[in-house]
Amino acid sequence: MSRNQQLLKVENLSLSYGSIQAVRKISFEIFSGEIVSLIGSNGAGKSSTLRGLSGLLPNNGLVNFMGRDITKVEPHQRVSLGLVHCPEGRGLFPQMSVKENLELGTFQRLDRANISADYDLCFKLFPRVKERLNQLAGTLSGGEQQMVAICRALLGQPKLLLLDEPSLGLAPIIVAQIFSVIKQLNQRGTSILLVEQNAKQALKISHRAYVLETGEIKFSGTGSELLNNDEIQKSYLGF
Amino acid sequence: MIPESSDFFQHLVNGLSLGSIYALIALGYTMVYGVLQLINFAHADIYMMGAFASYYVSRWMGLEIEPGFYALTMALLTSMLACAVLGILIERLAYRPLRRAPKLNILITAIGVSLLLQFGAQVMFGADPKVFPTLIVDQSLIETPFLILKTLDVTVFAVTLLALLALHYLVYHTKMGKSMRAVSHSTVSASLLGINVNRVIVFTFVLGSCLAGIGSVLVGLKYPKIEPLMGVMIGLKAFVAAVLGGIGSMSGAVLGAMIMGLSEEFVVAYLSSTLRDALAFGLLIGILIWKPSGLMGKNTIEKV
Repeated sequence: MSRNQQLLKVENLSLSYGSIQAVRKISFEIFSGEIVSLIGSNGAGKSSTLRGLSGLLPNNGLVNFMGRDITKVEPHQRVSLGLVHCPEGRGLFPQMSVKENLELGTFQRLDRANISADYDLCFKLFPRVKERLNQLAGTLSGGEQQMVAICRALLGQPKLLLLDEPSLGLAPIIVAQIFSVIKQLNQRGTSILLVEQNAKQALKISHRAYVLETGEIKFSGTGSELLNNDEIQKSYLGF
Repeated sequence: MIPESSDFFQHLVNGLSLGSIYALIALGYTMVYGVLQLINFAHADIYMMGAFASYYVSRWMGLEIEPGFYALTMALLTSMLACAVLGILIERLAYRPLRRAPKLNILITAIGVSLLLQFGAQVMFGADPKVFPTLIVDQSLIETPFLILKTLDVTVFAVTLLALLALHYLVYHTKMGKSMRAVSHSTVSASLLGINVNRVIVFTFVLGSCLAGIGSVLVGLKYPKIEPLMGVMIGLKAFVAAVLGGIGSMSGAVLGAMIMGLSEEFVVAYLSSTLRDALAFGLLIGILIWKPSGLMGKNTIEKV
């Protein structure tokens, strides 16, 4: 898919948990080949936006993925369309082995033949995961768990990967590794929507970014524009 | 009273055979609880309906005339099929519409479905007990001074063992089974991997109901009197077995059921038969006081 083709278009999306509204009428878009970041403080609605995109929260508004309206599409069907969400807290199954966790990521795929190539890619990106295959996922370190979670999402063949706080609570060296993998994945053609507290790192690798504040988009621009914006520097980058 | 060794082995066999039957039913409770966090009170009545289905089909096909492997297989298949269909219907019509409602609503619905089946069956089949056809000729296979091993007991063990092996294979080595374990850990994480949670839930009901169906035929063979309320007590005891082992844990359910079956048999043999039911509920109270998560259950922390 060539760059600049529209992959995801969101218009007036509102999301709520019962009577509590988390996201108010946001509109944004992602083109194929892009890394787009959503940044913002706690409770701004970043994770809720991802939960909305993956169908975990009912969609009120318009969500168009690859030219198809998916507002009413169930979460598991969105995965088969290529919209894969790697959730905050990783969502691994601690009592299952790493191997079984990864395998679960491939169950919805119909192209059996290409799966082993995707495993190879995962092991190339994160050799540590291969060493841990037979261990129970719950016994891994936080960084290793995050690696498994990313691999599992990759095995779902994402066209657009939704990554929620992949660097949360990890040692700086692992964070650097994870950000480098995100860049590599993007160079291989996967578009990425990244939610991060670590705004500086996220903006550095992003083509574009949106800033969420109390459920609304306050700024948008290219990664470097936002990095150099005074107001954003003060509020989110801690300069 | 000092137990005589000759009786001891006999009671052991009887207890294990009773435990096997409890295990088949307890597994249904524990699996459904695993994926839905729901005590499916209608489970025991699905079991009862299985017994009636195989009763009527056996008579219709004249299976009694030629007891043996074929007759047993046909009765088992009938019962499993009837239970599976009933399980699917109950899930679809009664539980699925309430999936997003508070847990109490669906629990009350489960009790309602249970009553509907019990009294619906009384209307359909009549309240008087029926004699389950003899599908296996019960004869002594081994006779020693200590132990008489009869065809029926061996059949109960063999069928249970086969069912448990098949279950183990399904749950640990197939896509559907692995998906089921994923759903029982987290519905959300499973759906984010593209697992169709509804399909997994239906599969769980089918699996649990089939096991109950197998149990109902085995009970019909061993205690050949079936009636619409036959599920109540055995269902309660299987439920206690599931709680004893740790609800949600499959190996726990089998362990709990064996403990229940054996202790019930030994209490009746060496203490008093009036204590039979008191024991089950005594065990339940005990486990709830000292180890509420059950013998093999995991301590779950209530998420805030």
